[in-house]
Amino acid sequence: MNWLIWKQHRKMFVILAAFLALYAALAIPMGLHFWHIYQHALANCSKTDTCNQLSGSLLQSGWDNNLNPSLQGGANLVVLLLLAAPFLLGMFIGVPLITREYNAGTNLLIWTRSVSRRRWLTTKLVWILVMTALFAGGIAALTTWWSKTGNVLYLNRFDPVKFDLQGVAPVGYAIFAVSLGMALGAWLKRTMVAVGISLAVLLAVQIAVGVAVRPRYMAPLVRNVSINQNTTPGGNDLALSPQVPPGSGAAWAVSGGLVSKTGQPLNWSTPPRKCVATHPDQGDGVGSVGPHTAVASTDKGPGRQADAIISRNGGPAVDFQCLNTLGYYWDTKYQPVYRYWDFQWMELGLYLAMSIIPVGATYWLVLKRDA
Amino acid sequence: MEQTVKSKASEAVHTRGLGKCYGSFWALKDCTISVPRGSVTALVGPNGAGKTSLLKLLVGLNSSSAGEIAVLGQTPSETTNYLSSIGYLAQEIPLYNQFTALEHFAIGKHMDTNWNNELAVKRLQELRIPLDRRVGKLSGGQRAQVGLAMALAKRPQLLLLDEPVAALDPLARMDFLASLAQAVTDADGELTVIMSSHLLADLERVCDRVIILAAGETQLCDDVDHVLKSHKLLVGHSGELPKHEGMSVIQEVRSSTATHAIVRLNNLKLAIPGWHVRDVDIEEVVLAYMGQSRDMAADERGER
Repeated sequence: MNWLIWKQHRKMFVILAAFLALYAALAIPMGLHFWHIYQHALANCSKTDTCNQLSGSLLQSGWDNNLNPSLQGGANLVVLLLLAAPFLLGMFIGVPLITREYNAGTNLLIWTRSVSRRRWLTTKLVWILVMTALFAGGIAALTTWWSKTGNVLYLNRFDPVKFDLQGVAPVGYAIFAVSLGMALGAWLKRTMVAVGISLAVLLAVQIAVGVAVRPRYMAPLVRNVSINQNTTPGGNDLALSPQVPPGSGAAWAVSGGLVSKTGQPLNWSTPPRKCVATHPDQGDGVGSVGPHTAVASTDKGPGRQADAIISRNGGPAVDFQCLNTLGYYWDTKYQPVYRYWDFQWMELGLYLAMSIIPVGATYWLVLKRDA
Repeated sequence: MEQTVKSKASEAVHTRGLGKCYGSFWALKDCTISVPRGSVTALVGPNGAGKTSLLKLLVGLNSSSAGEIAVLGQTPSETTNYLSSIGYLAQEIPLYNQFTALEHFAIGKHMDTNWNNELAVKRLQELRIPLDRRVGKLSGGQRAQVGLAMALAKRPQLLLLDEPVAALDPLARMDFLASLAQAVTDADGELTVIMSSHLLADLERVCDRVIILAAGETQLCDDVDHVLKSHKLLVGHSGELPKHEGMSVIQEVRSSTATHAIVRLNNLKLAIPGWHVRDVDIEEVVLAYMGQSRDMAADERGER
């Protein structure tokens, strides 16, 4: 039994191992390069005692100075491939796993040996899922390793593109994708249809989990600060809510905004009439910071938000100092960075639990359905 | 639902009222057959008669919707004991095209309890079939031989072949049937074979029994010798064939000058005055039954 599975799939296993080796050849030098940049910067800043000013932009400059544009394009392609990996695994490993046997009729050849269908399926499943997990785990471990510098520099690890590629969650994505493809293939017995449906379902699940489920793994922490307290210069959308917690960009702000004393969120299109700035300064201080936000800072200080006059979502310009006197404050819900690994394990657990459905369905289809 | 019927030890297969439906379509209904051990039975019928359904029920790949079934004294199941006593060659001879014959045999070595590798290798060597070429590159006849070797080297007690020669050229068909006949001889009465086919010519060469299946129902299940003895062609002047208790008419063809009728005699000594009684061959009998069931099906649909 093991012999047959190995014989049937060894080519695929070799291809997976080759991809893993190729990625290691890319990721290890890149990770070392970034780490050296960081160590170098640390050595420099410790002389001037400015190490608390190190940020992710260090890597950006290291990246720009040391890689030519075509290499950067290549690196972006690699990230894209990594994001697409679960889809590719589902498509090329999951779907054909059983469909191919049905289409060639070889299921009848194998199911009439002296081994039950249950044992055949279990052996096949264990091999394929273990190989998938090893591959996805290896890729994710390499990604986590080379992202070490960025993580140390407090780049947001909860960012979907980072969260989905690092840690243990990618193993869950890969297992789920392969099981889903396998079940749909076994059910429909048609490769292309099964590929189409499994890609659509996988995409929907990934989006739904990222948007609606992941923020709820643990109740977010709440941080309330007065408008005056926040001195972050305006200029980008994030600046509209205070950083959480101060000094760390690595926490994940789930939601944030201005709320009134009674806890009502500020409605930007109908702000308190009193605070509508009647003559917003349309002069030098106005900067467009995104499609829906305009910031005008008065000349009392360089971009103190408390002094800003801001309009959002096409609403009227709002005087922040006025909001402050009315008792409005920043209310931010966030997931602190120390929860990162909890979230990773919960995401893995969720995807493994979801995989039970397609795996169970495959057993039912293979064992109970007429051959 | 499936039940094991009390079958005689001398029977390899015994079914009663066996049926299989897919949704509301009965692919096989009220199928009652008995196949003695050591016999070689041809399962004939037009396409869609339920041959494949019956064979899959016997292998245990599908579950029945009605009736009783006993194969080698047990209910078909997925136990090692049952599976290792059945050899099955599915329609269109499924093999892993990228594997060689030897690699197929390795599957048997790893997955079959009674596998006889020497037997499989020897069979193909005698037929000069390359053992180390991918089976996808073999001819249809060679593939069929590999498939047969896969089923036989399990050393089964019951061999079920689903239209194994349907796609083969006449020479390859002859070779295949010769291999099968040799295997039956070698097994010395220990091997029972049921082979489905819609080709009537396959019958006489290797089979000693025949089951005629048409429109999902058993039309006949008997010894070939007995079928030939009990079925006669009656030829007479045009006119009604006399009704007789000891005789049933399978097919009747009337022209202005003569009437030809194929009949089954329940009493072999029955004589019908005024009619010539002639022997028939098995092909004529099978065709007569198939024609009869087709006409009856058409009657049921009100087409005539």
